[in-house]
Amino acid sequence: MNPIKNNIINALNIENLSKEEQEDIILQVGSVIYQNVLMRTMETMPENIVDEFEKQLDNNTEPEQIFDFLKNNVKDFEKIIEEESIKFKDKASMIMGEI
Amino acid sequence: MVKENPPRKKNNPEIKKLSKKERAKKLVGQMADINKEKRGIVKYEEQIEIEKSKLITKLNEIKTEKDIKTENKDKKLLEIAELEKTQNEKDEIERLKTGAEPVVEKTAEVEATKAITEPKNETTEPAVTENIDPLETLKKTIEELKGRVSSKKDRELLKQYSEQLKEREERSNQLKIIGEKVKELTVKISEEKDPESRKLYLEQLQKMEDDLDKLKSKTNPVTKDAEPTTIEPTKTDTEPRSDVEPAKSEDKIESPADIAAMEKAINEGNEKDLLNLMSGVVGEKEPVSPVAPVPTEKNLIELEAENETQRKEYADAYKKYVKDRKSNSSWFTNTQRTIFGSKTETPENKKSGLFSNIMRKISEIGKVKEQEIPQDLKDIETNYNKTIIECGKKMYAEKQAELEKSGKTPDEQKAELQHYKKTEIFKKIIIEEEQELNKLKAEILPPKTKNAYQKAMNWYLNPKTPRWQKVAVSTGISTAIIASFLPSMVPAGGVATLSYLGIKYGRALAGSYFGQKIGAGGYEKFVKERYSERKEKAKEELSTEFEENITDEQLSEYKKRYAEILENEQKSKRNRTIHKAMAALVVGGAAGLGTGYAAEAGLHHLTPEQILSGGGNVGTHEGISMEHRASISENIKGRGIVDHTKVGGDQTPDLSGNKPGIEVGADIKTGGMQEFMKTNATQNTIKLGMYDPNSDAESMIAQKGTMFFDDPKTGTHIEVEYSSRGAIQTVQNLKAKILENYGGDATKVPDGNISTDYIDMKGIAHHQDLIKGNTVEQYKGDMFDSGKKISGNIQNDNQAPLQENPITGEPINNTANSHDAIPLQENPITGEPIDNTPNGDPIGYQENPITGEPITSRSKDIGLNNNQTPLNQNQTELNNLNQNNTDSINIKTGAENNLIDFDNNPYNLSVEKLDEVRNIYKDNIDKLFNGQEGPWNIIKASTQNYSAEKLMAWDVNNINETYKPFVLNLQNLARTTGLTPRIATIINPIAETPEQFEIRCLQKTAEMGILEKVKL
Repeated sequence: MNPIKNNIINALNIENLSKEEQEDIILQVGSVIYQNVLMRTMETMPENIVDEFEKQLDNNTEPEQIFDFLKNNVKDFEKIIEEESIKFKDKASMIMGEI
Repeated sequence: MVKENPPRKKNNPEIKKLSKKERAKKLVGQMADINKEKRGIVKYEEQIEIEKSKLITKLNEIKTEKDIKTENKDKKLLEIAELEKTQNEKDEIERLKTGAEPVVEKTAEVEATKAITEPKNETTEPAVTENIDPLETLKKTIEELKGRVSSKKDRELLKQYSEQLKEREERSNQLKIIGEKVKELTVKISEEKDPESRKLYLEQLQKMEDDLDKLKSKTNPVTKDAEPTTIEPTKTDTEPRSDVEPAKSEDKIESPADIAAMEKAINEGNEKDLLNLMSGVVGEKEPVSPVAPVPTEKNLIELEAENETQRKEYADAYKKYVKDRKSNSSWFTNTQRTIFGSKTETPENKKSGLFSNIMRKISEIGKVKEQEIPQDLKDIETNYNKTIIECGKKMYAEKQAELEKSGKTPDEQKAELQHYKKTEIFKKIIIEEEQELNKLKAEILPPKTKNAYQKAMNWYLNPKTPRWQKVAVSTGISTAIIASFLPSMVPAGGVATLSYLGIKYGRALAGSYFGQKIGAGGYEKFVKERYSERKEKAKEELSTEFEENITDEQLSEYKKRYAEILENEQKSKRNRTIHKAMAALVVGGAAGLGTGYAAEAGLHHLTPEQILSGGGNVGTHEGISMEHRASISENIKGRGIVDHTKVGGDQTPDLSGNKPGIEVGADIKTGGMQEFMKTNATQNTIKLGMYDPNSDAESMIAQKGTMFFDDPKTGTHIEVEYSSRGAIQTVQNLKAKILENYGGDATKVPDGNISTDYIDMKGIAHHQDLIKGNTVEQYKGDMFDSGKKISGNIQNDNQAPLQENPITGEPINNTANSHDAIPLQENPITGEPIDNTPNGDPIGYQENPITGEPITSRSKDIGLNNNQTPLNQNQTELNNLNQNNTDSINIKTGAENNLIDFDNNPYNLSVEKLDEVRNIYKDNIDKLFNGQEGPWNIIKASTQNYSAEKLMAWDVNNINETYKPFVLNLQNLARTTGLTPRIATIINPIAETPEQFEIRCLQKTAEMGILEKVKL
């Protein structure tokens, strides 16, 4: 298994789940963090950049281009990803730890 | 003081005329009258009371009589109905005999049914039915029959009715007797205080109840046909039926629950409850006093509804807060006006880093500092989180209850419950909850932005979006979790792009190779950067293979294939670079550095061919001709820069102090950008204070950042990101980009400013100007001790370590060197590369075992001498702990040892086997720590810092000798058993300790039948 996915799986403690379930969880966690990152970046995104971003999306752009775009137009984009990941992790840990 | 008498009142003139004696006599008379009157009143009152009690008694009697009458009346009506039915049958016979038309008339049967089924209304009830005595009616009917018996059938009917009459008279008498006894018993029970006696009475009561039932069953219709019309109302009756089911109240006493309740009430002496229960027996149910409602546990639907409310409340509060924050932020408004008003970056606002500064501030809007969040919003969020947790708990509890009834074994139940928690609960309360919350939060976005946001989400969620793209995005993003969650696992994921700037000798390759390049953007990013020529091909392969249901094995295989290609490319490049590096070392006279470098960075791993292929021996500088040296020297001189690579005594550092080449603490006048462009990058970096070869903390350290050049006149802005290879490389990249911008002609580069924005290791953003006009402002941030142990002569030589080939000006590809020089550690189990550090730097990076923080030059602060490496620091701290804490740690011995995690028996070993494991465990630990309990207790006591996974990730070659055997043993056990330590996860935040892992491994070997083989 590739190390990235392996580590995510370990981080989420889902190694005992089936491959489909693991991938499903990864997709969903990624989706939520992606959503959170978007929320945060787009709150402050200037209109012209929003327009451009929309064009990229309309053109069915590939993932790395989307990320390149955001990286180039949003200051500290990678840091935002990290921070949102940490926030997600902290919240999820707190809640799941209570159950 | 003289007290004055109050003025006397004027007396009644009539009384005044009487003598005292007469007045007294008169008063006595009056008193007598009063007393007499009083007595009369009392007597009258007594009479009233008597009359009152009489009335009450009378009322009670009337009430009782009325009740009995009512009861009798119902009975009578039923009897009449039955008799009338019989009479109707008889009439029908007569009618059939005579051939007369049927007569429809209001019978007593109908009336009886109506009387029972309709609400009782005394005023509207026909008076005639009140006085009907069923027995009398029956008798009358019999007499009539006797008078006109003419057929055999009539005689049979007469006989039947006579028997019924007799039977009913008997039952009526019995009922009366039992009724009386029941009443007596009821009174006795209510008055009896002794529980035993009460119980006895109750039994008697129960017996009577049974007798009553028997009698009632006999009293009930003789024939089954009569049942619907006499006892129960017709099924088609549309009248209210609540009071037509008399059996209901009687059922109460018959139910075991009621009997048990009565017994309980008797035993507890609870008279009130008992009377309430008894009222069901005698049909005189008293109103039950209202019982306070018992708080019931909320079901999942209710909790979800509550959660939805809390979510909305939180979202509303959040939106309000963000709105207020934005509107109240004057700088934000101004900034918006400045920047967004023009919709674009202009040369003017590029000046002096204005644009980047403002953009930085803007980017911080989204990140709200903890202390800035108002308390009420925090409280709302806390409440919201509580409801989420409650929902999760409820889901867990319901599943648990369901499993308990499933008949599955406890282990199966446990496994299924965990599975449920990891999948369904996690999805429901974490994933879906976040999604719902974001939907609400998105409402605050301006319409246009919201539209783009939705598109961005739809793009991801669209089923048409290829799955491989989603996996790539998710993988790229999700990996970031590891950056904060699993520090020692980060490199393999690599999203934590901690760029230890200025890391010497390119040690980061191993980490960056599998970490930075792969992690942040997934494979696409890996493919993209630096290897553009292969990008399209790789992407094509990747997308093809990813398109449908790619397996992890396929992905891994792809990665390996691609890695091989790149590695081969790197190897050839590395060899070329090594040649250059060696040549430069010789020319620069950096023999000592070369040796140190080779020793430290692992050049000893290179084959002699590789080292010597450059034409010289590192140690002796052989292989490079003097001519070559001369040409290099000339080349450097010709550049007009300070030559720090000179050999011999003619080499004079042009600047002194701790940082060679610069005046520490003062701005340095330079020749501006022209000089900057002419100077080699190493010297530039030294001048900028970002590199100091004479210091242990020699290199700038930061998480990430950018370095940029601004021309204030033209607004030109040229920017590069920090290179993972270090500050020297970053400077080099910037210079290359500047040069490119000016057509490759350095002389055209105008004066301007060089600045940097970076985020330090604490996550704090900085902006610093480095060159302004012709003045250098040195970097003032933290420096990093890469762990390089520079030999003494090099430290004294003021020699910059080789980062750039002074001959060609090309940066030495240290990553290539180190990539080969420092073999990747492999996971003994999986064979996959292990990268032990968050920054992807496997060699120098060491985590403080106590704090978990990366060790930097702060080692000096705790009193270590300069020659001590970070590993020495670890050792020192461990030793300190050892000395300080041994006494205070309670050592588990003897019987206590039996408790050490042997409660867990994951492989279901027998008791005997567990004993064997326990003994071997104790012996092994004893041997591994040479009989010392202190070090072992330190590891056990500090579970957070010494998780098994962390401990095993340490490079055993650099571990304190005290702990080395244990770590080696742990690694050996992992290799033998194929087990890996459980790591801290979101769901289970506590990682497996070394002790736990050791025991689990031993248990595994016992299961495998090789326990003896791991005995030391």
